[in-house]
Amino acid sequence: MKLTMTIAKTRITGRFITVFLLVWVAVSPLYLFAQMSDVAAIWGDAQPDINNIPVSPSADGSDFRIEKISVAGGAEIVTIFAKTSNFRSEGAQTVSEIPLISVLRDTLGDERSENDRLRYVWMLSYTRASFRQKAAAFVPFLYTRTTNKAVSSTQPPPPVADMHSTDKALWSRVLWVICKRILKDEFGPWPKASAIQYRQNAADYKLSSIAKVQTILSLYESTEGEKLWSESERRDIQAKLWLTEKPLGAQMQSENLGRAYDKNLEEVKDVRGHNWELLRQYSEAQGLYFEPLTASDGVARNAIVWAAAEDLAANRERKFDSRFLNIKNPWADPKLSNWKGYSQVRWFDEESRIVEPGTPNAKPRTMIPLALYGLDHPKIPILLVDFRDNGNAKRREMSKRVLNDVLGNVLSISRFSSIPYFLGRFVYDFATGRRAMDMNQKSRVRSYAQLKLLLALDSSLDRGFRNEIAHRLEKVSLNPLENDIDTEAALARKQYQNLIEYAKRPEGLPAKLDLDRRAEMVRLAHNGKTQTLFDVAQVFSLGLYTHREKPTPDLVTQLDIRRQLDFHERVLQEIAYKSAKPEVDSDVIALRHALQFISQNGSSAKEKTTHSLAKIFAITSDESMRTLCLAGLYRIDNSSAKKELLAIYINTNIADHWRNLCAQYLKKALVERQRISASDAITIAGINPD
Amino acid sequence: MIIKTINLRILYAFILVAALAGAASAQGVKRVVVIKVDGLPGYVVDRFVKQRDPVTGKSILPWFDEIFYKNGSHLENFYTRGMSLSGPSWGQLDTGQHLQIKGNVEYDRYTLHTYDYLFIFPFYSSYLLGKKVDMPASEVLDQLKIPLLCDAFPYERRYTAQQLYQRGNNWGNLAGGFINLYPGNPRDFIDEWTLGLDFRNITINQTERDIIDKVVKRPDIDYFDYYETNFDHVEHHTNDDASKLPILKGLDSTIGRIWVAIQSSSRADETAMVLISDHGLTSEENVYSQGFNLVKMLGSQSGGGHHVVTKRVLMLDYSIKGVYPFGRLITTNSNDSYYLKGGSSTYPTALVDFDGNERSSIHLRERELNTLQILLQQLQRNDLNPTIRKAVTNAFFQIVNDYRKNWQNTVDQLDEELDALRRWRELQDNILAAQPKKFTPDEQAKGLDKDARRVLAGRDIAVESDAKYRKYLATLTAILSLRPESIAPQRLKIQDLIAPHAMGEPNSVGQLQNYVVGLSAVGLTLNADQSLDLDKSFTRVNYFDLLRKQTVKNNLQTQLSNHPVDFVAARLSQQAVSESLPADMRSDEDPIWLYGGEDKQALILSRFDANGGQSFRYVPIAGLRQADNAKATFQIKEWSDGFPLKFFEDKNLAVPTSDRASWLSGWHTELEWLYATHKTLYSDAIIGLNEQLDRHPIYDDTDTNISNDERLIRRFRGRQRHLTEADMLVLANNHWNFDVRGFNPGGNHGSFFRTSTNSTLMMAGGSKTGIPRGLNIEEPYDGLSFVPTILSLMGKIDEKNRPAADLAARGFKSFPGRVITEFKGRQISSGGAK
Repeated sequence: MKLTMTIAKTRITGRFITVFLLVWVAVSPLYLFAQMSDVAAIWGDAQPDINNIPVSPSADGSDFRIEKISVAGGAEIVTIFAKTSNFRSEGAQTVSEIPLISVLRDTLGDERSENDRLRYVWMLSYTRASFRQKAAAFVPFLYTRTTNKAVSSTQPPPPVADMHSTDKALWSRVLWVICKRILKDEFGPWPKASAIQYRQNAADYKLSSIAKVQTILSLYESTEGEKLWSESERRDIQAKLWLTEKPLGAQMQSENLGRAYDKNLEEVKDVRGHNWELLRQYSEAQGLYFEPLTASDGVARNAIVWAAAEDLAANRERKFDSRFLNIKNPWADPKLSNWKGYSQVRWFDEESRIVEPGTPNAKPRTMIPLALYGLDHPKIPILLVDFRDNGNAKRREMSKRVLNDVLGNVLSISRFSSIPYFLGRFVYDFATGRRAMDMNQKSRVRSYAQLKLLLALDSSLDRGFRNEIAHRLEKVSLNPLENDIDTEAALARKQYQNLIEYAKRPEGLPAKLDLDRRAEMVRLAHNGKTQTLFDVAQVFSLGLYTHREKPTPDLVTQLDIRRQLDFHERVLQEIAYKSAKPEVDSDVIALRHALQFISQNGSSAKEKTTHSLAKIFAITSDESMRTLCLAGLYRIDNSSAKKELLAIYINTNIADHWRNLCAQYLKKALVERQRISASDAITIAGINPD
Repeated sequence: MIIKTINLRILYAFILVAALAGAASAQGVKRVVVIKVDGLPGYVVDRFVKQRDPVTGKSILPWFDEIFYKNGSHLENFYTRGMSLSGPSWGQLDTGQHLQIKGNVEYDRYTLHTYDYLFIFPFYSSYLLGKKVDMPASEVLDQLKIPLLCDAFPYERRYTAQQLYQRGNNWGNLAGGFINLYPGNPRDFIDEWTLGLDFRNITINQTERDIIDKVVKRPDIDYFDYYETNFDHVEHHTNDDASKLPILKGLDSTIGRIWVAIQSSSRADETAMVLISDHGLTSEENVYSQGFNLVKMLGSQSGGGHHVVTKRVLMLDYSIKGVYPFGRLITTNSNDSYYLKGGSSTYPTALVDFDGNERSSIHLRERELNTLQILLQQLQRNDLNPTIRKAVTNAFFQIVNDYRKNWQNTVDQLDEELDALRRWRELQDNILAAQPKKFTPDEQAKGLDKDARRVLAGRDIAVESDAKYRKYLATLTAILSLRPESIAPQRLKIQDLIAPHAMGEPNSVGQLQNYVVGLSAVGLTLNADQSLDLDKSFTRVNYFDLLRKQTVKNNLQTQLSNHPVDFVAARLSQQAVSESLPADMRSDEDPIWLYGGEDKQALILSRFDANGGQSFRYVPIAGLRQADNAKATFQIKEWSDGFPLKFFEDKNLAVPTSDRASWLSGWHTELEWLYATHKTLYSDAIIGLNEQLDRHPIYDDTDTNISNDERLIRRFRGRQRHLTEADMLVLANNHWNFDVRGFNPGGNHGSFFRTSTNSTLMMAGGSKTGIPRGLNIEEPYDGLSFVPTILSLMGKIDEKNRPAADLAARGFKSFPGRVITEFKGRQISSGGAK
């Protein structure tokens, strides 16, 4: 009886937790932006004309234009616009433009760049789903786009990324794992499948928007003229976006972002080049024509494979190897002999180069598109559009997703619950990975998003062909939260206007900025343990509770200093990591500035900074910088800094005057009751400076 | 009197100052730290060094600038001599001698034994099991008695990195590298894990740490080397500066840290830091290097239907078998084989090495072995008409008789050599038996345990060689013992007569122009006299023509031709051309034939003067034909555009346009060719092709103080090297490559393009080293100069490049390369003699 009651109680508690978590799951896409929704709920009635934003010509005549708008309270929104004839209103003679992405830079209202902080990145076509879209997204195994969102909302767009590192994503992930477990135990597989479906769709939708931001930034980087941000800001944004896909990417320390950027850049270019070459070679081997689609930045992220109508008869008996191309044999396909779809005539000279029609000795060929591929997919080009079989790309798109959904969501088999499954899955993943089967869901989502965006921006493609590709792409999409290409353009315009309105309203973005800064002040007012408690409270209240400080003038000043300190600590850590001798290989002015700042305002600097100071002291021979290093170690109020000072003092290979200076600083720190370990304090007490 | 005294005092003072100065300079370099970087083009480094950081105004490669541009000297025109490929090039750089190893992978034609100089896993495992002590390339050089630069220093006074020409293996380095993957605190570790732990570089990074530590704490070490391959790797894969620069900056930081460590050491003033690379790399931003699949071409019907052996797994990253780490021969089966369908596991007929990728070395099975095998297959048919059977039998024995002398010679000589090798092996067994089972720490510190293991490894190689060669000889002997009157084809096993997994003797140009790949479509055909019509009975391929005529239909990049093959190079025998050339074109070595099309061919001739100085002559020709192994005929052509190497039309040829035809039509010394051509598209290709394709004597033939066995073993070693020589060297057109292991769109090397041969050599040192500061050396040099220059700076060779006594005792011989005297503060260049 007692046992039964205990079980019953446990079940009730379990169900309560489950319902709680289920609610949390349902609102999870909003969770990260819950604070923003609070403020964004109040809207004005005025609706600007969004369909024809006039183009103010960019100084360099490029395809992009930037715009900066100040936000009350000390911030600015910078926006990239693209000019494109693809979005020309019917009958309009002028080329219109489309706002693509906006970034919020919190400047604290001054001109000092050290305390600036990039915060939100908005992909302006990324939007909150409509009710119908959300409902569809919950339906298990519904792998298709359903409806478009109406372009009437007055809400600002949700950001796709917050440049400020937080632990929220990590917590969210942990809670999700717990939630999944409980859902299955308490309600069986279907509610779990439903919740997982929704979450997967939401994650994919966000991933596709991030991919678009990355592509836009890449296109924009190649243009001349005024830049939105500094070189390091640009690299940081790209690195942060890349890291959103990594489990602990959000926790990456700022001093390592540059390395993350370099690594990602090399990987992306490596993959792209390999795929370009793989597709060319395999097209060539099968007697087909390969055409990379080069965007305005000179980069080919997609490619089309064509067959020449004139080759069909001659190749009828030809063997066809479909590996990597992933399309059926064109030579034995009766559809091609009687092709009714899009085609175009191209002229080739004797060296097989494409030349102008009518060029002497050149021959015309009627080219039939077979397939369109994405080149940014790991290992192999990914089939995005099969012009003869729409279901081909869709089946590939769905295959791994169905497998995962059935096994994980319905049958609830995981690698850790079944050894046979673990082994089978290992073999399957190994084989498909080595053989490079294009079933990587994440990169497929990215590739689709990228192509969709490029189709929107690229006006070099024949309009009819572009429309056909766009039409086929929509059919392949698995995600009910996605909108079609024209709706996205309209949403981007509308949401940009909404964002600007939001930025102008005191209770809009300025209020949000204020809330963010007050949340940022928590680290200035509380120790680490207390901060962790606040974080936990926020997570378990579904983001309803966020601890914030009251912005006193002192805290505002501290916030300014803290941000500058973060900036200078990063300078020191980067130099300490890579430099052999700063005078030779580093920006000495920036270094000196950073050392100066730490020596004056660095009391709360991190432990890692103390190691950086000690290293810079060891590798520089510049007297003034060495002096500043020691002053910095004295100024930093933590036991690690004093340990470093003590280590220098003890090192007899170091000149006496440095050791004496260390001794003086150590004594002074002891007197000032700075944080020093007990053993070090005893040693310091025994020091007799000369 | 007073004046005289003053004058004397001035004179004495002058003498004293001069003596002191002399003494100072005589101290020279006493310790050297060599930074070896794979595939670092000199012109790329120079471009980046001269690029300024807009914020700091410093070079974006500040340490290159500081060390080698401001405080040291660098060569603007340093070239690979031979193919721009790591295996051969490091071999030359590490020995200072002419090329003996001529590929990253070499195949022995008789046994298909593969020398894979790059593969480290088999070496690691053999080392772990106590079976090996040196990388395969070092083992080959040991067999040839050619010491490495590091051998100039006692074992305990050198620190060497893991590299192609590696001696021993430092497990501590590997272990330290693993441990140091953990950066010291959990937060940093999470970041490193997120970025991807750098397993690839664990030994490279640890070597840097070791050198930085030891250069200060171990003043007794005189020689350090550091080896890294990152830049080469990235350049193969990506073609843009943004991807390459982080790697170069990483290297820049490394040399900065090592330089700072050297400066803080007690021997800073007598230490030289040297940065050297083995080759350049052709890579151009916005141009993808395109691959052409020679393996597929050779396996196709038009390519001869060969089963093709490679040492690299095709599409490595896309193959499940590709994860096997120990390397093996990969045979790509041809479904279009004419007479060996399904026989790929027994009878591969082509060997391909494509490393570097701008070139490919191809061996084809000796043409006559193909013919004999086809004839034997026919003879084994039951339905063969007696007249045809008789004709086939006659043709079979005709071929055997034509080659009998040559093959019998091989059997006799090799048998003799293997007997000598067996006796040598017995001596090694005695040495091994006398060796201690364990070595004290002191003995280990001196490398005595490694020396002992080296004896064991040498003996094991000899045992293996003996077995493999004898197997080949058995088939050759069997075929030579056949007699027409007693032949019973049905009872013969083809495998007993035609060696499986063997290529036989090398093919002549004539054989390759008329290569038998199978029966013809009409099959066996008789002449009017009932003999077999060898022309009509067989399908034949002219490989030079076939390769050059390959085209592609996807011609997308304006910088590329639709012909993947630039030209094909092969060595012709001296006898074949001697009659066809006028007297003033007499060649002392086998001429190199370059085939760029029927009308665009060339011969590179070479001769030696009385002092051993080498001269070359380029002869434009057309229509070369060789009738099997007999005389070659061709027409000498007037100079015009389009001949291989394109010197005539190259605007960078250092000869006035009006004099070009005349200049190019004469004999010129090696140095004259280098001066005239090194800035052209093909830089030092005339010298490089000779270095690559001609033979360079290893031993002194006049040495009478050696035993007969030693003489036979030397002959055997020479034979082994000759057996690795490929039939053809296929050179890719600009931005084309022959990689079939995967894709190298970033760029490639291996060719004679200046972009691929222009390499890096820089040096800087302390006050006593005498290495000039801020000197840009424009004089062109090549890989032969590196070792003699280092040893000259250290005072270990004399004016004639002869080694000092202690080096001679360790097997060092005179060095043929020019010492780069500019590094010694002198602007004079000497010699150039071979």
